[in-house]
Parts: sequence; C-alpha cells; structure tokens
Amino acid sequence: MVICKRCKLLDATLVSRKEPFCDECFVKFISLKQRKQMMSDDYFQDIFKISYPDKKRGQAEADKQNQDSNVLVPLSLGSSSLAVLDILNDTLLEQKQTHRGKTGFHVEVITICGQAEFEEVRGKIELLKSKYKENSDKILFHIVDRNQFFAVPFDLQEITLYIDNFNTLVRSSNNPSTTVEKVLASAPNKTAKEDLLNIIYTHLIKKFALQRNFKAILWGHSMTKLADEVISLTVKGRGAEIAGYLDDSSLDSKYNTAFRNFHPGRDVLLSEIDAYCHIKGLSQFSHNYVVQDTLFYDKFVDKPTKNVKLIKNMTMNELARQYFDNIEGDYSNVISTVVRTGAKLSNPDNELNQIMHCSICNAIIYKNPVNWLDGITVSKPFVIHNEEELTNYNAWEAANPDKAEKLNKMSDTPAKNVGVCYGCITTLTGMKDRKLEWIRRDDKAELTAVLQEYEIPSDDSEQ
Amino acid sequence: MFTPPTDPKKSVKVKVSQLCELCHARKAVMKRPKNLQRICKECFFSVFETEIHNTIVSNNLFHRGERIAVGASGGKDSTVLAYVLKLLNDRHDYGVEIVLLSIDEGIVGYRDDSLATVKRNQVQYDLPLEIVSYKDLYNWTMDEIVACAGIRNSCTYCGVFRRQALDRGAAKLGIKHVVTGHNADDMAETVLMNILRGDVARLEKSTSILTQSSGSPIKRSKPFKYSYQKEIVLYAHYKKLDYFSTECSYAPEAFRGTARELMKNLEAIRPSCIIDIIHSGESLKLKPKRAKKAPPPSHMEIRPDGSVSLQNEFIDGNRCERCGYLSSNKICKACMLLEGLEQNRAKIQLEKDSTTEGAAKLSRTLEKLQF
Ligand code: SF4
Ligand SMILES: [Zn+2]
Ligand SMILES: [Zn+2]
Ligand SMILES: [Zn+2]
Ligand SMILES: [Zn+2]
Repeated sequence: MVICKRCKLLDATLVSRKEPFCDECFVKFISLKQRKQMMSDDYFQDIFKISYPDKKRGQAEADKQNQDSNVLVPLSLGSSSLAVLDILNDTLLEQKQTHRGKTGFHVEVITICGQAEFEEVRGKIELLKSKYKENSDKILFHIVDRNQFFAVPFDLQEITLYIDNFNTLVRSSNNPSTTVEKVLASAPNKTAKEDLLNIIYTHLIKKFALQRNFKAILWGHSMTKLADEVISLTVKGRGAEIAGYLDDSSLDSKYNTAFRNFHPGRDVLLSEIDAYCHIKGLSQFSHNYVVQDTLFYDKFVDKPTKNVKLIKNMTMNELARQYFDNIEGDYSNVISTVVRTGAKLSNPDNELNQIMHCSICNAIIYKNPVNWLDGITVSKPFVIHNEEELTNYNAWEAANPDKAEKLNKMSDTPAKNVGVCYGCITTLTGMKDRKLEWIRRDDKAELTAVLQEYEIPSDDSEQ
Repeated sequence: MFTPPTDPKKSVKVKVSQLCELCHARKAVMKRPKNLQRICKECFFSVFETEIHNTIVSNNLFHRGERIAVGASGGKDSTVLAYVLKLLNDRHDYGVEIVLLSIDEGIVGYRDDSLATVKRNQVQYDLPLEIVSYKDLYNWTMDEIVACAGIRNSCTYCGVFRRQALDRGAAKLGIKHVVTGHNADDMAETVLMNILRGDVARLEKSTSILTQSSGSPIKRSKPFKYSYQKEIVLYAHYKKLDYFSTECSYAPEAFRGTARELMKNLEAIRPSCIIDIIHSGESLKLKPKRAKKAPPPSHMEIRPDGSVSLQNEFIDGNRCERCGYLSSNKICKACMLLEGLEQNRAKIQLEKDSTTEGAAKLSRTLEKLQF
C-alpha cells in the first residue's frame, strides 16, 4: 500500500499529478483549487466573502451586500457542476459555523431539461435538495423546460442558407411556434444538433441570470472541458469566440453587462473532478454521465460504459475530448497549455463598420463570413463546349424548371438578408434543406419574456 | 509546354441526377470537400485553378517582372504548384519568371528518388532548376544528422536547415520570392499545433499567406493556402502529373502525429473543418503583451512533448556571426544546431578512438566538451 503524500498517515487511494492522495486530502486539494478561484479577484471576493460593517459601510449596507451576493449554478448533473455545487455547499456550511449563521452569498441552481427527462431530473434534484437541506435557506433549485426557448411573444422566423452564394435569408415562419425536438430532428448532423442545443441551453441560462439579477454564473466546466471547447470552437470556425468564452473578468456584454461568467473549476482536470465526485458520493446524482475511475488504484467502472463509439457517430466536441483523453497519459501538460493559450487571446478586430450579432447564436460577427467564403470558393461552371453536353444541360433544365430559375431569383415571399456568423453558416449547412426555425434574437421583448419554471415540490412539510 | 495525356473519349448517356452541380452538363466525378458539391472534371479544373488565381490576385502575391522560386520537392503539392503557376502565369499574364528550387536534405531512399522526379518536371514544364544540398551548405546530410542526434528531433533540424537553405538557394539565384506548396491541410494543422503547444509567438501568424522577416530580402508565400490536399491529389491524378508519393523515412514527431490523427477524424465527420480551422486561425489575436523579461540569448527550450523550441522573436537586421544569415541572436539557429551536432560528432569519434588513445585522455577531452 502507498501512503498519502500529504498527511503521511492514511493509505493513498488515487494518484493525481503524479502524487498519491488519500480520500480526505484529495477532497481538500480539489476544494481549495475552487476556493482559490473564488477569491481570485475583487469582484468575486465581494460576492463570496461575508461583509461586515467597517469604515466605509454600516451594518445595513453590509447586510445588503451579503443579501445581494447571489450566484447562479447551471447544473447539468454531470460531474463538474455537481462538484461546483458541492464545494459551494461546504463553503456555506463553514461560513455559517464560523460566523454564527451568517453567509456571504447564496446560490440558486438551474437545470434545463427536455420533457422526456423531466421526471428523472426532478428525482435527482429532490435527492440533492435533501442532501443539502442544512442550507435550504441558501440554496434554491429551479428546473426550466428547454422549450421555453421558443416561448417568445412574437412569431418565429425561418432562416435559410443559400449554398451557392452563402447568403442567409430570413422570412416570417409559417409556424407560430416550434419545439426544440422538432428543430433537432431537422438537424441530421450530430455536430449541428449539439451546436444548436448548446446555443439554446446557454441562452436560457444567461437569460435567467439577467432577469433575476445574478452577480455571476458559475459554470461547472473543468479544465479538460475548457480545453476541448477551445479546440472545438477552433475546429468549428468559431475561433473568434474563444476569448469571450474564457473571459471571467468582464461583465457579459451580450446580456446587458448584467453578470460575469465564472469558471471556478478551470484549474481542475475532469478526471480529478470525477474522483472528487466518487469520494463524496455524488455519482448517484449524475444524469447522462458516468463518473470515471481514471485516477483510482481500484477501478469500479464497468468496461462497456467506457466510450467505445464509432468516429462517424461522434461530434466535434466528443472527438476533441477523445483526443485529450488519449494523450493525457503521454503529454500531460497539453490540456493546461491549451487553456492557458486560449486565455491569452483577445477578441479579434472588428472589420465591419458596426457591431453586428449573429441571428442564430448571438456571437459578434467580426468579419463578413459571406465575403470570406465567396473569396475562396469559385462556383462558376466551366463552359459547355459540345453537343453532348448541351443535350445534358437541356435535359437537366427540363427536369428542374423551378431550380433553374431560382438560381437567380431566390424566393417568392419577401425575405431579408441577415447576419449569420461563420460558425452558424457551417451549422446551417448540416441542416435539412439548410433551413432553421428560430427566435428573433434582436427583439427586445425576447430577453424580458419570463421563463416558466417546472414546479419542484417544496419540502416545507419536512421542516 | 507539357500537355498531360488525355482520356480516350467515350460517349455514354448521363442520367440527370448524375450531372455536375455547377454546369449541369457533364457527369459529376467528385465531391468537393469544401462544400460537398458534386462536380465534373472540367468544372473541377476550372474552380481549382481559378481559386488559386483569386488567392494570388487578392493577396497581391506577385508583381510583373518578378522572379519566383518554387520550392520543389517532387511531391504532389510542389509538383502541382509548379504546374499550376506556370499555367496561370501564361493564362493571366502575370509576367513572372518561374524557377524550380530544390533542397537535397540527403535522405537516401526518399530525397534521391524525389529529386529524380523534380528533374523530370524540369524537362516536362521547361523550367530552370537549382538544387541546394545540406551536405554542401552544412557539411551534414539528414541521414548523418539522424545517426548522430537521433530520430526524435529530425524534423526540427530539417526545418531550420531547409528554411535557411531555401533562402540561400534563392539568394544564389538572385531571387527574392520563394513560393511553397503548403496547402490548407498544412495550414489547419499548424493552427491546431500552435494551440496545442501554446506556441504564442506563432499563433497570430499561423495562417499568414505571405511572410517576410523584416530586414530579410526573401519573402515567402503560400498560394495553396486555401487548397485542400485532397483536391491537390485529385488534380495531380486527373492531370496525370508526374510526382513522387513516398513519405520521408523520418516520420514526423510523435506529437504532431497525434494532431494529424485528430484532424483526420474531424475531417471524416465534417470535411469543411479544414477551411473552418483556417477561418478560426485568421481570427486568433493575442491580448496586448505585458512587459516580460526576455529569455537569455541562445535560449533553447524543450517543450513538454519533447520537441525543441527555438527562440523566435526577431530583432531587425542582425546577422549571425558565423554564417552571416539573418538572426536575432549572435549565432543563428542553424549554426546553434550545427554546433551541437559537431560536439556530438566529436564525442562519437572520441568514443571510437578511445581504445587506442587511452581512457585518461578521453575523459580530459570530454570534460572540456561538457557545457
Ligand atoms: S519529414 Fe522531417 S526529416 Fe523528413 S523531410 Fe520532412 S522535415 Fe525533413
Ligand atoms: Zn492524506
Ligand atoms: Zn452564429
Ligand atoms: Zn461541371
Ligand atoms: Zn549562422
């Protein structure tokens, strides 16, 4: 048996960063990493520390600051968000103990889910609620149906990509509403599906944070997840978004600069988070995720659940993740290098003379993707130079009378050209008929439309 | 000019559904990886060549009267490059003079055979050819370097030496512009590699089409920046160009291999990802730098993946004390690597001699060699 290198007392159960740890020391190690992030700058210190009256503020003001320090935790029920919440719970308990019941902040948790998974998700959340019941005054749970994305006070629009010239046109949709499930069904391509779901979930969470005046959103994302997002964004042509994605130090400009995005788990690898969850008994709460045993001496995950997927059934993000999984052993620094490199990026220079947001994902468009694509792709045919070819062409024209005409005239109902970012053009390319039913992101009424929540039975009765 | 042999004409009725999506008049023979369009051979030649022409024109790569050297390895990229540049120069009257410039790294079984291809290309395309060899320039062949320094860093040595060799070859010919066959796949791989290695110094420039160290008389450009490797291969295949397809016997370093594997997988699920990565690469911009202490001169860093990083920042106009090549340090990268090699060679020879010379003398000499 190996002895834990930290306490030099207990048997080590796992190895992390080449060091053997016992359960207890490892939990402390991970928890400290997150708490260090929570104290990493003034903005977050103001949120998480307990404020007391001092020269600058009286009792009332100090109380108000503690009261206003609310953070939102998007809980996907994967290991990372479970760990973030668990460490917050411990922090709150500690504050209560050492400050006679006072805490510096309180937490609300939001889980977005589809109809089909609602019952299971609610079950897990109820379990979590009772696990954290000592903090029931400080941790509130919400479940929001993902179809709230389309619950907007105006008609939807239909966005169509014309591949010949990469223009995207928009017109009012014939359907007053649609569902996430329908939209996903029209995305045959898995990466496009994942891209759209990601846009939908992120928007719902940020909209929720904006409407309820949260100071920060605490994303669970581990260092591993951040690294594969940096690579995935690059690979999907969304390199311009990396800087914003990793930015923990400015207010979110796309949501009225109302809150900051925060990644308290950015120093911790996914394998380490998984180990934390296993030790703290959080695996039972996970949904759509199997906590892995990578770091442990004693393995407990059955082989078949380990990812054995065919490449062609994988998404870009999954491929990036697989890449990091495979090289973690041989090139252990690559994950942290990628995140550090991403953090050194800034937003690109804006080559347009105005600030323009993508109609689908809301990202800022820095350079015109249509011109760029047009500049590198020729779609002019080579001349028809003999009888045989002419006969073929005539046959084609006869078979496709409308198509031949439509090449020039693009549509029958009035449509207007909209800005769609490069990444979303790529996504549209993977959609059925290159069409997408979508909300109008530039509509002011969209951000204020109240999000309906699912009821979670309150456990007042038990108290 | 070299005219590739043509296929015998066969006249078969083509179904409408099989027609090219561009001309609707000829049978589609391929799917473009870029946009999944199914097109015919004639349209493919036309769009492939025109896209390169557009790249050249929109980036002002050439000017009339300019002499350009095509870095010719005999491989598919540079063979197609030489062919297409000659074709476009005639078709659009760029007014440039094209010369083939080959580097002989001294790799038996690879470069000797591929150079034979370049010599045939010289005749086929009727272009002048200049060959510069590592042996002549550095007194080392790659085979000797690998024997001495191991296979692990072969591409690091080779890359540094080739860069300088191309410049020297061009200078010898009085040419100020070297054109290389780097294609979109190479570009995308470089973007990914620079992120994976955290090579911040090169990150913003990973996708530059035209590079020139300030103070250097030689500029380099990559007209195939947006051309897919697959299309280059298809072009060479349909045009029946004569190229050499064996890979170098010194496989790329292991870490680059992992990035290549990742790219291959990504491409399998989304063929446009190559161009998507380049789009991303063009929008990578660093935050303004905070003042940082410079590393000591002749600083050589071993990256976590085992490859060697040489200091990259460039100070204008300085020249290497030994060879006179542009260098931000007293001694240029090539001379630094050469110094290391010479020391190793000395050691190896000493080891061979030690039986006759006696151990005492050997250890004395080795002490002096320690650094
Ligand atoms: S693979 Fe490496 S060693 Fe071989 S020619 Fe290329 S750079 Fe040189
Ligand atoms: Zn311990
Ligand atoms: Zn977008
Ligand atoms: Zn055609
Ligand atoms: Zn030198």
